[in-house]
Amino acid sequence: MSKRLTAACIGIMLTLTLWPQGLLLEGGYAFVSMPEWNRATRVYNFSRPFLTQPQPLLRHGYGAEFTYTFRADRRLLQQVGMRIVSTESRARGGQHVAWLRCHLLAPGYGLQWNPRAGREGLRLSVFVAPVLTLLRRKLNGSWSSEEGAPSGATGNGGEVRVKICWLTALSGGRAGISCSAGLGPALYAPRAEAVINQTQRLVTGPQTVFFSATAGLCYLIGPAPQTAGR
Amino acid sequence: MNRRKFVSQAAWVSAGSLFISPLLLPGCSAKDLFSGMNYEGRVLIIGAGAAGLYAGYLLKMNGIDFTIVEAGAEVGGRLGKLTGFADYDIDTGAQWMHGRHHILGDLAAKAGTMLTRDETALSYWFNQQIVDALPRDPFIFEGEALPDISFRDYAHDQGYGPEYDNIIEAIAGDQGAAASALSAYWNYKDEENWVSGDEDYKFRATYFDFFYEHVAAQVIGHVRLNSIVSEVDYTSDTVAVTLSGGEVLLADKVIVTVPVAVLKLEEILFSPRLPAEKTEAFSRFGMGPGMKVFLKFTHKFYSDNLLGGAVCAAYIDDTVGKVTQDHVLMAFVMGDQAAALHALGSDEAITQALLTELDLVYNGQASPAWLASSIHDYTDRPFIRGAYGYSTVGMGDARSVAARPVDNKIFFAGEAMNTNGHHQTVQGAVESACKAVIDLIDGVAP
Repeated sequence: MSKRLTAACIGIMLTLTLWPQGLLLEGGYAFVSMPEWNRATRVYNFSRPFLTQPQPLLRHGYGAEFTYTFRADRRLLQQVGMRIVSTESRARGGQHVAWLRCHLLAPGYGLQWNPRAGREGLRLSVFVAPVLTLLRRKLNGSWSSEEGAPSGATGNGGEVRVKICWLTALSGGRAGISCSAGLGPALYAPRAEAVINQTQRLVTGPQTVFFSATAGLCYLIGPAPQTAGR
Repeated sequence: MNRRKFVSQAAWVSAGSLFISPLLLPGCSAKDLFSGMNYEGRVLIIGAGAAGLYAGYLLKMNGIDFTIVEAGAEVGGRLGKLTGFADYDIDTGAQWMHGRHHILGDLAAKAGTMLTRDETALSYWFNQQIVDALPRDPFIFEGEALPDISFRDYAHDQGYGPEYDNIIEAIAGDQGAAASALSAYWNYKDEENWVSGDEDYKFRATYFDFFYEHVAAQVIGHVRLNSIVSEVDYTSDTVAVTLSGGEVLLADKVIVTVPVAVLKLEEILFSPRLPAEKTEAFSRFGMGPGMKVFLKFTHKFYSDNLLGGAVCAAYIDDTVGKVTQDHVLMAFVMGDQAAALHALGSDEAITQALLTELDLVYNGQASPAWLASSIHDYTDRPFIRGAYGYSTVGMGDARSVAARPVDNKIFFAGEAMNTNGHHQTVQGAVESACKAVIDLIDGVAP
């Protein structure tokens, strides 16, 4: 088993090394929405009218993405990437301060349509990716660590994401702007309600659909793609 | 369409999807929950225990018209306070906050309420002696493989002899039940969803004071005391609630928060009768005898916690977490033992029975040191009728069926109606109240 895995890794590395390549770095604003989590958060706020600052929905944060492009000798390029999104929100009421943080990790595989290969301009990508999430709550400055009370909840699912990137020449490389939108049919996170609302299976189900979007800047490192011409 | 045009259009469509996708997602809209926040109906809450008071608190904070009717002469239900017995106030009902990861834990943190973690150790009266550890671990009631038989039968099946009976009685008593009646399987299934935390906390003042100050005081002006509900008629759109004196109160929706024993005994008539599945669900709950006896002594000669007595399975030092010079031991008596003490018929007889056992355990030190007793017997207390609801053998889905609203007009709350593992606790009662109010405002899916 380990021999096969090693061989596969070597094969992938050779493929990525020998073929023309590029590394796209992106970073910027991220928006996520998990309807079931939103519901749990609304219930949390509704059931705690004593909070002076209710818990905002876990929606706004920042995201970063690293996309490795290979087989750059065609207009339809293959990509592998890793996307990280982090959001947080804070509720407050007197001496009670509750932080919620969500980290989302999506290692994906994508196809990029690069109509003007070798030039700057618009690129359109479609990614499929498994998604892993980690949701955590910090109460009054410390991560919840009491036995019998969950300090975090993991989740897993998958998404399909569309990304648009516009690049222009910049000294030493190419830079531009990018935005993406992803939709996941199911994120399975059965303990999320326990972290958000401190209840289990009272107001939400174990899984949720989810939506994510990012918008920000991007920078392409690497040689200009060797195109087959128009 | 040429390639350039295709790419251009695809780009616009993709960009548009950024904004359109959230609209397609159920629940992304702010209107998916509490869509009827401008609910203008009138709500009547039956019972001014923790659930009823918190339901009223939520309704008040949302500007909804409500009245709470309470059969007794005071609010609190199974939260109560004894003053003057010792140099500190004593909780006669719920006294521990079980875990802090729940609504009331957040409220206590917000208010800066003084809590003390109860870290006292257990000791056991076992084979006629006090021991700090038992030959076998008696806490065996966890796991999917548990059968739907009583705690006592399961312990016997696992080879625990009669010398463990009173220890098992104490463990079941913690659930307000007799070991012969509490289902090993369903109790575990109920507790599977527990997420409040496993530590127990005591209030520097009292649980009652905490709840009264932060919740009850907010709604006390809406409470009608000494108002015994005899009938709830939900035949028409408006629910008519008849009090024992004949007065009829009208409401659009009613939240019933009385203890499940009151519902089992049908002390409130519903017209039309509640669905058969609901009354059958009530009947599957256990809610048995229970009492707390506070024994005041001249000095401390007893353990912090002693489990395994034949008269009382759990003796607990009540002064833990308190600022006091007094010495008060609480006898926490549930199930069959509570029934036996209740049957003695007088406070003197109950005190004597307990002192006799304590004398046996502590070599005759109890009676000479005894100063006074205060007995709080919930066994047949009017409008409560027991300690708290527990899962009997054959319980099944009775808890969720019992908690289900009827006709989108009658809603149920209370510790027994908590379906997320926090039943038998104040936070569980409060959570069930939140659920009932959310269902009431948001409408219940048919």
